[in-house]
Amino acid sequence: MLWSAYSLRNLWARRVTTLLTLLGLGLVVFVFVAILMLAHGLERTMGKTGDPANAIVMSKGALSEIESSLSREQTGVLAAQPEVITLADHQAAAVREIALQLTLRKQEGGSLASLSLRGSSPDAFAVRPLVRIAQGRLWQPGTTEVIVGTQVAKQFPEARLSETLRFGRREWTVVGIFEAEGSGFDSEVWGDAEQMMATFHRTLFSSMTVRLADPTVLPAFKARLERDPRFKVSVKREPEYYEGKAEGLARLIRVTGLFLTLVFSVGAILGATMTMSASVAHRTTEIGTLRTLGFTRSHILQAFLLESSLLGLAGGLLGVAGAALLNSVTISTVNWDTGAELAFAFHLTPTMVGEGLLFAAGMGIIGGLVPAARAAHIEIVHALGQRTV
Amino acid sequence: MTLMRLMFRNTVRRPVRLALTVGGLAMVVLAFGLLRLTLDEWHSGVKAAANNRLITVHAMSDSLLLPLSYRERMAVVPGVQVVHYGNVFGVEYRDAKESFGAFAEHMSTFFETYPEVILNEGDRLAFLKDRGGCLIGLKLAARFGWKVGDVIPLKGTTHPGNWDLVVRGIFRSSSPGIMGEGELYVHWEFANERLRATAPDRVDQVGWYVTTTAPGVNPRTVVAAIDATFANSFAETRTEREQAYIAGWVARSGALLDALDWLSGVMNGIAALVLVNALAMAVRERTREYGVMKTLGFQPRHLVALVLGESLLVALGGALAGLGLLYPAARLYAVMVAGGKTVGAYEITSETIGMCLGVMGLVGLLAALWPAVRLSRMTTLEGLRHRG
Amino acid sequence: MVDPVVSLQKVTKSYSRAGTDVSVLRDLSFDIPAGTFLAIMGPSGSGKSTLLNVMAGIDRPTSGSVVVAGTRLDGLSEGEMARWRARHIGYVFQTYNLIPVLTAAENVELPLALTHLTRRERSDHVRTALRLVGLGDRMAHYPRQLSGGQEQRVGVARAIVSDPTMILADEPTGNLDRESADDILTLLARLNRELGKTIVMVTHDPRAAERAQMIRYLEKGVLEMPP
Repeated sequence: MLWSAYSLRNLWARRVTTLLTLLGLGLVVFVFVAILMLAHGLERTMGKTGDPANAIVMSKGALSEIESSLSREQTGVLAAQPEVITLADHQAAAVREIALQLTLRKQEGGSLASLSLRGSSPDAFAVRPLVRIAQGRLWQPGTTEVIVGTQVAKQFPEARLSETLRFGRREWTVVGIFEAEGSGFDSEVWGDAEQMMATFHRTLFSSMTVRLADPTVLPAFKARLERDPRFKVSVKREPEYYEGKAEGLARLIRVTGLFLTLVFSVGAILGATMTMSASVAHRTTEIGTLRTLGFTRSHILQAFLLESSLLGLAGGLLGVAGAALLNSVTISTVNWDTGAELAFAFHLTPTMVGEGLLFAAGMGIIGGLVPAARAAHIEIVHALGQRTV
Repeated sequence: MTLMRLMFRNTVRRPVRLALTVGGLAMVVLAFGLLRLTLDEWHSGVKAAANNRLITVHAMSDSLLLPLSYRERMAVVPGVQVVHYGNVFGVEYRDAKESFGAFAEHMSTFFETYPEVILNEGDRLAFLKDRGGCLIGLKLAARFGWKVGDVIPLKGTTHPGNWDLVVRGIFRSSSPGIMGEGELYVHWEFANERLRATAPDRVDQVGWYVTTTAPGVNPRTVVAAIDATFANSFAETRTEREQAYIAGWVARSGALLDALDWLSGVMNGIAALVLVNALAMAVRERTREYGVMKTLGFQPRHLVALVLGESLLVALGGALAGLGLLYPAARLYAVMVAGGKTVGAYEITSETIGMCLGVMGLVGLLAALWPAVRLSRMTTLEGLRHRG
Repeated sequence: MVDPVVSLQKVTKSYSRAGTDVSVLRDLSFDIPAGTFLAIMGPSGSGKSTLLNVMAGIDRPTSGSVVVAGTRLDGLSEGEMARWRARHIGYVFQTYNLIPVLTAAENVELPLALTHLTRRERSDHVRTALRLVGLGDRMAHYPRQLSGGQEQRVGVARAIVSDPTMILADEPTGNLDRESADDILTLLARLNRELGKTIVMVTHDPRAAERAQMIRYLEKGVLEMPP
């Protein structure tokens, strides 16, 4: 108890230096946690896109919906597979869709951005129960009405409720806003597949998403369809497919972030070492006195290590607190794997708080190691003989 | 001068602390340098863009295709010299992790549209003659050890089916920001032919048109004329000068680039903290000496100059050490970001060096501010009475 | 009588400590003629160092006027005071206060950085000053390589190198052994006798004070003749 009070008061006695070191450590932890939050937020967004019991079927070889094409006959056969569950109205829980993109301007005078435009059918809501209409209503099948995700409505003034979009020489009215629990669908525009195919002179769909009885059925379903030469399709679990579509972005965030944090932390550790060295140098006489009183070298080592880990922890708290302010701040940027705009949020988890604090304490301890060892090895005679002026 | 000497000696007075400070600063400069390189990499295409090239894409989205028939209508737009076109040629080699960019281009206009491509005449003619051949960049060739005459087995994604392409030439680029050396090129007509069987919806369509404007023509009028030609057709066009087109793509990543920019600001904050801390310690220890100097008749400005000089000296040391580390680190970082894909340039330019030095100079200046203010406020007596 | 180098009129210096005003100097008026070697004695806390600092322009009186070397100090700004000090005052500290990272010669040269002398003139001055204090052979030594007595001699050399009007010494022998102390006192006496320097020395050591021409006691803020 006395020991930690000793360490704490020493930190307080040199508060300017302590504060500067704290800020340095805090900034490093802030960056570290912020990067984790962003990468996690992105993966969460993509991982929530779709349902584990859903399978997305695309033409063989296609890496994305945009590259894929399925004929009307193919989709009919696919929907009739026994693994696909049946809805209350005896229809198969399957939705065939066409993937397009739409370029709009972000804000007045902002940059252009591409949006995922999904030609679909109302069945999409049966297949993806997560998605629900938040405002307005569903589009009328057979019309040029569209609905937009919440993030689209937020980022693009041209796509707000009741606005009219112009593309393919036709006008498309936004009649509803849908909400998909922060998943990637929130960054999409949905409308009637048949209308869009007619508009763009297309005869082929892009993909088909089917709902299976439960997630465990999927591997067998996938194996059967992919092996059968009549289908010429590839099958992926829906959320896994979307997760794969953000790998490039996730890697950039993680690599850049962690590389920088690593480099940073070396700087902060050196800062901590400097602070602790000065603290030791300053207290040579005091250390001599303590040793004369009967405290052992290991006591001295402990006191200084405690002091430096307290320094680290305090910095860590500062950094984590700063990062917590970023929680659920949304950023919207282009996803390079698809070329389309994607919104995702910083997301803080308890694990990250722990990691941040641990990281901070670690930096403090590593930084304090050499000065503490030096303090422990000071000779009493030397320490007391030192001139104080 | 004695003061100059005093400044140098003060700087190296605590070798351990100096090493720690310079080390800390070097790390920050290193991180800052890496970020600047990342941002430079992003903007490299914008800088390297040619003035006379225009890009035309589908007005609704870059990912939608335009009819091949637009070629003739574009050629007659006044001011247009050459009409070139191409598509993404999506392929996989072995597996998705080892993918690279590939494009199907109209080869009769490719070389005059992109003078950046450097290829010897023999290989060029051989490639033009072989419709099933391909052209690869130097970096791509190095990555997989491919040579002229090798057959590359690829699996098509945008163009379904298996493609066995014979390497007919390995090119270098005079401007990697525009024409990377990590890509593969095939004949557009060859790729298009196979689509008739595999994806009839995409036959005779192109991803983009590239037109060059005649000398002396204002590209802006050509841009407007092209878009006017296709206004109200079923696929309207969006034409931009090459620079604006690339800048538009960079802007789409604006949120991320802003975050990186912001991060590099935070970094300099850390640098300033490290330096302020070291200086504050040094100044506190030497307070008595400063008091003595004041007694001898030195003015506050002399003392401020001493501290400022020391601060700048240490900052400079940190900048130089950091730049020294930047060279090997940039290479490692480039490989990591690429994650198995073709590695970007990440070239350290004199601009990067100047930026690092400039920013550290500023940090040195700022870090000296607070100790300097404290020193000039301190009375002689306070200085003399100070117990270190 | 010669013109006074120092002239104090009704100088009072008080500090407020724990709410009450403590006067260290009370209505002090006296002159010091040029060429004098004056020792000021007194017990600890009598205000003798404060008096010295007021004369050196590093402390300001609460009231009264101080004229040193023909300049009235009360009106001067900090900067003007520093400039004035550089020209007229050589200060010797009890704890020597040499800059540890500079050699003996560089320490002595330090005040000359404020003058417009050429490099050559500066090094001549430094050599002369160090020879005068008997350290002509220790020019390149750092303070930590010198004994206490030698350090203080460097301190004296630094005080005289710019040829100031007067030398102020605050317990110059306070940290020295008897023998080194005698050396320093002999040196100060010589500077006074041979070069005509005005010297004011504060000390609590009667044996040191004996070496001065004149001794005054400061007690309860008032200056008195020796008993």
